[in-house]
Amino acid sequence: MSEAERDLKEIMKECPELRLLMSDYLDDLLDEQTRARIDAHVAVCPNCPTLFRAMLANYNAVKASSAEDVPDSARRQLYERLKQMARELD
Amino acid sequence: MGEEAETEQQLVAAARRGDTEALLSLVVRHERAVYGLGMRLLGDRDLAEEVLQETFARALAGLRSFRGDAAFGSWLYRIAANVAGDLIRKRARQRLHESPLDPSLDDDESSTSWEERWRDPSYRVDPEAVTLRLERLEWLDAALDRLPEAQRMTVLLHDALGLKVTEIASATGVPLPTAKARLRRGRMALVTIVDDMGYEERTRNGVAGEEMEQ
Repeated sequence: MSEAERDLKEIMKECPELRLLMSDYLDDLLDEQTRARIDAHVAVCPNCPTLFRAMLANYNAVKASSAEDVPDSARRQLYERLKQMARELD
Repeated sequence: MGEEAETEQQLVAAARRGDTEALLSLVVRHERAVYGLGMRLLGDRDLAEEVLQETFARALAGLRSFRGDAAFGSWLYRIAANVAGDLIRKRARQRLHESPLDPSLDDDESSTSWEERWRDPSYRVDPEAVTLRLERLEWLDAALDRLPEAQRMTVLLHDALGLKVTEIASATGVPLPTAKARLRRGRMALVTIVDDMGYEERTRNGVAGEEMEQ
């Protein structure tokens, strides 16, 4: 095994543990030291960056999906119902 | 942001005093988010409309008890999560009645196979393909549909609607570490699900291609 292969093997020992922290990394919940550890790992690991980027893409897609146009008929029904309720509450 | 929050507080105060115009302004601000949550969680227009109607009806009925400790949106989305949760459970009971082994009832424990893959350092995905796929809402919905319900709810409340994990824990009646774990596991599972969908699609196309060649 070459030195480079040995180095890579050492780097990849960290993958399982650091992958569990990706979600907290995304939400900026980690202390500076742990964050720096992940940054250093991702800079050299061949696989973890693919998971990070995909998780970020997922996050952005879910965020963008938050709102959806309400059908007109449902909106009219809702407004009428709420107006009626408000009158009754008065 | 501050100005917007203040205006919303004023609208809530006016709505509590019985101002119907203020009430409808609040509805206009939040109806798309509530309906969107219903669509993502239940994947059905009729049920999403039910979430919309019932959420605002409950919110209006409970408006006097809203103390303003949290943002109005967070309070409202917690109600929406409860309404949607009730509908999901009702539907699950119906499905269970029809087919006792329905896999949609899987709980948090159903994620073990993807977790094993994440523990393998050689595991990787194709982030470009995942990103492209997620540009289409139907892919995202199909992926969300494969998540266990509790994870789907947690990911949507947090990432789509911006609720804090503490608020989600309280809304879903679980301890904070459980809500945190659901968010982490849900996000990790989604990555694998969307990546696998690409593999499934290629396999299908490959088979179709071979069939066409024959």
